[in-house]
Order: sequence, then C-alpha cells, then structure tokens
Amino acid sequence: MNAEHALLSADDAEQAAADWLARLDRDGLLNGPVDVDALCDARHDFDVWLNAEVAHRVAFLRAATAWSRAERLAALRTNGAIPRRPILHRPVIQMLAAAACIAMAALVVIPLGLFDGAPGQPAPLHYQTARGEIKTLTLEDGSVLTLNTDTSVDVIFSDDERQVALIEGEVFFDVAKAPERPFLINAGEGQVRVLGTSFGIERRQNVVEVAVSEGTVWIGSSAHADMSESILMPGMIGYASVSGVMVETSGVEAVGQRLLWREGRLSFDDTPLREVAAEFNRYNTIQLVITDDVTGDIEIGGTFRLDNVEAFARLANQGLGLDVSHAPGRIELSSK
Amino acid sequence: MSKTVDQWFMDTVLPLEAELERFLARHWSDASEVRDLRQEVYSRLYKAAANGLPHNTRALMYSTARNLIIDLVRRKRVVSIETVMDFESWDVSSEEAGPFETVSARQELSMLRTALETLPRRTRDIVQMRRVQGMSQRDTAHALGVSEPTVERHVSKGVRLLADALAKLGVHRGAVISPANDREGERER
Repeated sequence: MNAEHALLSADDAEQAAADWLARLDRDGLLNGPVDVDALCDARHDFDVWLNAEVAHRVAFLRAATAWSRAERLAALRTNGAIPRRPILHRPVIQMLAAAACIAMAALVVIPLGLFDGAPGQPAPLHYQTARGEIKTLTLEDGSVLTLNTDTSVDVIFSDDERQVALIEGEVFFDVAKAPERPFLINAGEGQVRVLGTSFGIERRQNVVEVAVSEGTVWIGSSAHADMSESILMPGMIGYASVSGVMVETSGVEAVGQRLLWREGRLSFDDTPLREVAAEFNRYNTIQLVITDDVTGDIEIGGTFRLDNVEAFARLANQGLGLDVSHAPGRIELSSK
Repeated sequence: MSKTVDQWFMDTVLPLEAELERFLARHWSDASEVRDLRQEVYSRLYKAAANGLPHNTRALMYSTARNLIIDLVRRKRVVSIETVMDFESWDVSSEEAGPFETVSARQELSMLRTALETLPRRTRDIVQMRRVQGMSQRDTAHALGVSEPTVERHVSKGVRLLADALAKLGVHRGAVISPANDREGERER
C-alpha cells in the first residue's frame, strides 16, 4: 500500500517551503503580492531550491498564498484584538480521565448466567438482521446499537442494569452514560461491562472480539470468570475465548478500519485473499470461492463496498490477473 | 510564463485543495499518504499547465488524480483494489461541481480568523504581530523578548498550520467554493 518509492514526501517539501518563507519574511522580502520570480532574483539560493523540483515550487506557492491571505487580517486591527476562544483541550482531557476512573472503579466480577431469568425481570426484546442487512436501533436509555449482517440480540433493561445478549453476529455499541446503571453484554465466550463508551463486538464461532473506539471496556472470558479479564482502552482489540482473554493494541485507526462496516465498507491491509473472501461472504448471498492455496495466499489491501462482490471479482481479474468463473450463487477465483 | 502559471496555480488550483484531498482519501486506503498524493497531483498539474493553461482546471485535476492512482496501483503487486475497482465507475465529468459561490470579503475575514485561532498560542501571537500589526520579525522578537530565530521558527510553523487550516475551510481569496453537493459521497452511502 505504500507508495514511497514513487512519491516525494509532501511533509518535506512543505516544511522546506515554510522555512524558506519564514527566512524571506525575516529579510522583509514578502510584503505585497507573491512574486516568485522577483524572490528568485533577490536570493540565488532560493532560486536554486525552488527550481530543483516542481514539488518545491507548488509547496512554496501554497505557503505563500496562505501567508499573503493572512495579510488581510490587518483589516481587523481597527476592531481591536482578535477574540480568543477558551482553550478547551485541558478540561476535556481531564473529563475523559475522570470518566475512565469511574469506569475502572466500577469493575466488579460479572455475575455468570446473566440471562437465567431472575424473577420479575421483564421479557427480552429481540432484534435481528438478515444477511447483508445493517440496522441501527436506539434503545430507551439513548444507547445506539448498530447490528451488522446476520446478527441477533436480546435486550433486557431493568432499573439498575442494562443487559444485552449477543446471540450471534456483530454489533457496534454506542452506550449512553449512566454510571448507576451498568451496561452488560453477554456474548457466550466473552462478557463485557461498560458505563458509557463506543465499541464493536463480534461473536464468531469460538471467540468474541471487542474493538474499542472510545472509553473503557471491561472484557472477561466466561470460562475463566475469576482469572481471565482485561481492561480495554481506545485502540485495543480484545479476544475472549474458552482459553481466556487476549488483548491486541492495534491503534485507534486500525479499530476505525475494523468498524468500517457501519458505513457499508470493508477495509483490508495486507490481508490474505481467503480472509477477504470470507469477509465478503458474510454480507452477500453470492459466495466468493477461492479454489487453491496460491490464490488464497495473495495479500491485498484497500477499502471496498461490502455489497459489491461482482465488482470485487472483476477487479481480482483485472488488477490481480486471477481467473474468475461464475456459477449459480458463487464466483470462483483461481490463479491462471 | 512561470508567473502566469504561478498565478493560475494560486487562484485556480489551490482553492480545490479540500475537494482534491477528499477525492484522494476516498480512493486511496492509506490516509497517511493522501498529502503526498495531493502534492504529486499539484506537481503534475503544474507541469501540464506550463505547456498551456487548461480550460477546465477541475476536470484536469480529477483526471490527473485518477491517473496518478492508476500509475501507483499498476506499479505495485499488492493492489489497492478499490481504486482499480472504481476505474469503471469513475466518470471524471461527474466530479464537476454544481453552482459556485463566491466568498465575500467578510466571510473571507471570518474564515481567516477561524484559521488563526487554530494555531498554538505562541505561534498565533507571532503571526498576529507580523500580519495583523504589521510588525517586522525583528520588532516582534524585541516585543516578546525572544530571539529572532525563534520568531522565524514560529512564522514557519504558523504558515504551515495556516495553509492547512485554510485549505480545510475550503476556500481561497476571491475563489469559489462548491456547496456540499458531494455526489460521489452520496453514491457510496
């Protein structure tokens, strides 16, 4: 996916351009409209740098345009000082830190058998999606659930607890904050407890995957309730299975990619074609079939519309040179 | 000649920066490379214009961006599939924006002010003294009790941040902005 060998770094050119601009400005050469030719005449070393690469010239023109536009700010002089916005950063960080502490403090052992139906508990509300369907629900507390393809959940809310059972599939939770009313998710092998945060959770055959985009999430394995648990922070992905909990720090960006399905897209990064096919197959009735290991091992990257499997196959043909054959309900990919 | 091309670049290409970056981000999966791609598109556009200014800069910009992505994809074995996938659906003419709106002097000023406010305090103070009060770098250094190289460093930093902030706001002086009728974006949804 990288293109370093083909592209000059914009950062380098823009930094050099800004440095040149500051130097020329120091020497009082930048008053009035931008005239690169005149600057080149005035400073031979600038001339040499500017004409070494077209990239240098365009970067300088970009910086000089911004600088020259800023001159219009002088019009504000008569209006007195420029009003300042309060600096928000620090208080926000403190608030987030405080929220994280609350979440941590509230960590308690999750009761097992969440849905054994305590007496007097309201009946669960059931929601599900069909293959290829993505649905968003807003619950009574304001929490928003986005259900991915082939997903089924039960929701039970009581006065002191909010419970969701993920029976199968994948859900993105945006949990409304309500510290006095914890939010519990039971997903078979994995259990999750939160106060207010955003994260995606997927229940696969033997593993529950939790990807956190905001806030703090407690994850535990139901098989090892007392010994296997973890706190997940933004950018972390936790995997709970019968053998325990494993945590991977993937970064917020990777988590965002992992959750792109909410926008109807899939993102891959050096992913073997067999895994790519499996992902597509979750969403489409037409199934991609990889016929041999050589093809399955080809790694690809990119972002795709998850419902356009035909276009993906065309691309595999044109971009990767694979053989593509269509049969009813399936598309086979093989190496020539 | 280069003066004409420089002017064309500043007046016609730079105002399209936000639009160009959106397009590149949609068709290139690695967000960290979008700036490099944008820079390369600028260079290619500039070289093309040196042989004659284009009639339709926006159309040339999109086809240049598209060709750049195709070049990069062809050069790599590991393909950014979406880019190739979308070759078929890329109708560059459909990227042409609809009605334009000219930015008034007042809007321009308020946008500049917004951009200025995004700067870190020290850098903003120095940019303000240089550009709003019209003080020289030397006078600015004296007034703040810092060295001249420090002022120069803040000017360099300030201009970079300003250029980015202004591009994000999507407009350049006397230029046009396209309203939020991003058809490509809608199509993907």
